[in-house]
Amino acid sequence: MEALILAGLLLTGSTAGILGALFGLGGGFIFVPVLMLAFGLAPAEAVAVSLIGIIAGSVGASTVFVDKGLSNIRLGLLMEITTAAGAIIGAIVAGLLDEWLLMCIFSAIVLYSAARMIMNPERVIPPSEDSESRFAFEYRDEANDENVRYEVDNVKGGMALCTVAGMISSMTGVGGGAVKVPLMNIYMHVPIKAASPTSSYMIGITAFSGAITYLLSGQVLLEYAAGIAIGAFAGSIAGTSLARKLQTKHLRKYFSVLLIAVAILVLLQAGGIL
Amino acid sequence: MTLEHSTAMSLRICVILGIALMAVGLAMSMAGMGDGVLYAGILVLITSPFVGVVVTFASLVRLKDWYWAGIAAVLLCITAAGAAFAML
Repeated sequence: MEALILAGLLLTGSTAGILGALFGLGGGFIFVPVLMLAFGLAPAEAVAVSLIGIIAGSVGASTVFVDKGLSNIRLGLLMEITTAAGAIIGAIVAGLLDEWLLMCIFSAIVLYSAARMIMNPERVIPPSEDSESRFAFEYRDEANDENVRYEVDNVKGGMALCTVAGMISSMTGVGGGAVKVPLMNIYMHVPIKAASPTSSYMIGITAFSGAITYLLSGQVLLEYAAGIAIGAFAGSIAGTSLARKLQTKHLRKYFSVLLIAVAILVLLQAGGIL
Repeated sequence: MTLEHSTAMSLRICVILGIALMAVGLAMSMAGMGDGVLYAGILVLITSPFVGVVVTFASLVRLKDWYWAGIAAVLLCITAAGAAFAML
């Protein structure tokens, strides 16, 4: 591998790692088109390398977010159950629906979420002082130097929607965090400073099954995967530092802009332009 | 050690080991010395989220937090089934 290609892979990985850690996205929407267009990888090769990069970014960010209590491990485990089940269902029924149609549906959901996040302020439900709900949680907001308590709302509905998110994600190869973060923030009233790190934690678990399958079947370009993964890991550590300092309103605003960009990218892919 | 610290520690050990192996393996591979170390590094990295859930499950059992331990156990089963299904 040439040094220039390695530098490009490290740069791509670190950019996606920073964005992934900041906003709870996996980075597949960056990895796959860049690996195909700039590095000339075939779609299956790009997806395989992308999954390794997603795991590196997710685990890298989680080493900080979980330790600081920003990733809600318990909520992540619960929602990951239906996400993983949805991914399996999606893999089974993948041939029944056109991929371009699913990508359009995904883009519509993401654009709707972005509009809601721009127009509506964040709503957090504080649990009562004597609450014994198993869905009452707390994290430390370092930007405002305060502890934030919140109670997760609409848990059953959120889990059901995670099944749909898992299905769409496995059928199109995009979308984990772009659906889960708004779902947690808008519908389940999880503060975005906890929703994004929780999504980061979940994304690595979701990607595990696909990545191990690609690796064991010999479909991973090892040098490309290592370059992307090392970059994504470094970027994710930098991203966690930025995420902890950002104010909630800024994080939501930037996240909304990124959602619109993701929706446009996916629409271009659906139209065969990318 | 809290649930969060033990989970973060397991993830940190796995990812640092994986990245270190990948960095060494990448140098060896580019020098034409084979890609066995590189493969091992990527394997360690890929398995780290699953190892993290296993450690979380063990920590929840130690804390006797049975509801969430049950959730972690179900997730482990589904994740393992998903990997097995994908390999078919």
